[in-house]
Amino acid sequence: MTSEDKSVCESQHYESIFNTHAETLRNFVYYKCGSEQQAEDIVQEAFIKLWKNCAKVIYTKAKSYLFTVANNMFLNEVAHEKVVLKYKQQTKHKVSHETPEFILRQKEFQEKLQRTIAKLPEGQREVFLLNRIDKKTYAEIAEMIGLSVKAVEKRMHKALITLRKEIGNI
Amino acid sequence: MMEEKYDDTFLARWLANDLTAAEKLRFEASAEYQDYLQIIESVDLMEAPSFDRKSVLKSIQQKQQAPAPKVRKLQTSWLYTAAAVVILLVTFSYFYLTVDETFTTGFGEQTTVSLPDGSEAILNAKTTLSFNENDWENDRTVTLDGEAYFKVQKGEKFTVSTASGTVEVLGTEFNVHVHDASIFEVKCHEGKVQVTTKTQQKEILTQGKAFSSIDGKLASWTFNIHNATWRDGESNFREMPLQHVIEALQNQYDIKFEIENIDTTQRFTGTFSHKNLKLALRTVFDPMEISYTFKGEKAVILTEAN
Repeated sequence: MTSEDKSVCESQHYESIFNTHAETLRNFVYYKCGSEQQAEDIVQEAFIKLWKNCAKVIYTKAKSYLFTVANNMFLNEVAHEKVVLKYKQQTKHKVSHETPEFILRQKEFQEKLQRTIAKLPEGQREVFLLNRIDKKTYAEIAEMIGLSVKAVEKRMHKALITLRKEIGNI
Repeated sequence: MMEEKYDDTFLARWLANDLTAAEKLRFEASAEYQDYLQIIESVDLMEAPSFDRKSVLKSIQQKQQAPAPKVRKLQTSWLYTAAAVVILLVTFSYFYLTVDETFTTGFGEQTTVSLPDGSEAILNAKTTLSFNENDWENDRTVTLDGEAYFKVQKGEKFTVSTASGTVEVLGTEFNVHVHDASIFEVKCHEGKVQVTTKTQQKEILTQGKAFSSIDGKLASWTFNIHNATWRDGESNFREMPLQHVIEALQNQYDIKFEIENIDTTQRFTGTFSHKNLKLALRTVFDPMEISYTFKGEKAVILTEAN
């Protein structure tokens, strides 16, 4: 059975789509709106919509279907909050070599970076974070948001330019 | 600013490791390189808020079980009942208004029916075919329940009318398989066939193309016209609910299965022989991991193999 023949209506296929794409989809919406709750709600609604239309959506198109649906749902809601990202727990010994002053400066820098990312235009932010946090390639991102790879690269480039400028100014 | 010397995807290409060696060298020597590196190193330490995949899936599944699917089910069964009633009424009135020739095959039988214009219909086991002999010149329509292979002489439109839809052709060879209103499968062996389902979905099949509607789910695929078919003593199935494959076995071998202990909604893809019951049972049930035991001559008990 080729993947095109797989039916989205069969729960094993549906669950495998969920397991592959749910987290990236949640992050994609979160990077846009900054609300975890809203992002989770949209993920749920998008997957329920996929289920209702399972007979009409081809297995290989389920991914772009989900991202399109989620994007439309996001556009229909207005609440925008600040995107907040956590820092991964770093291993202690790695940090302990640094002077307290260095750690303080490091922390300051990270806070500035957070604020600047939150202020990026939405299009740049989602591309930048999908690439850096979710480790998606430009081609994958282009497929998700329905842009050309070139356009994704431009957004990526712009995001970095903006980040450097803004951090310098703060 | 220094940025002007870069094109508008330069930094994206840097991150993707896509710069030429010369570009990279020049960039790494520049003053702004350290800034970008620090930003990226810091961003790469970040992560998105945690995501509890399991609990989200659970709540989606709960919402799915709520009203929506129920309504769907009711609607479809309603539609089918309505369709079945209408078809019954239509066929009944049709039967009373016109005198039809009817051919029926029993367990394990196959029959070739010659139609008035020299076209042929080969009926598989437990199949009923009827047509109006008097009106044949004006209306080449046959009514089918079961499975039949048609060889149609060129001429006016030839229609196969079934409980699940109709098939229209000019002159060709094709196979139609219907069961109740739930299974409707058409395979085109030659020429061109137009299939119309009860829900008015239209599909044109050319040689080697097949189309099915199983429990309302539509599928199209291609098959090899040289493969053995039931006319050669071998039944073929593609993603067919097991329930129906078991009925087909019963029709071929005139035996009875006890199916209480197995899941008959599983799909089966494969073939079985009409000539050797033991072989047929093995080819159907072994891959499905179902074991079978004979209870007397004509009854077989099915259980899930462990």
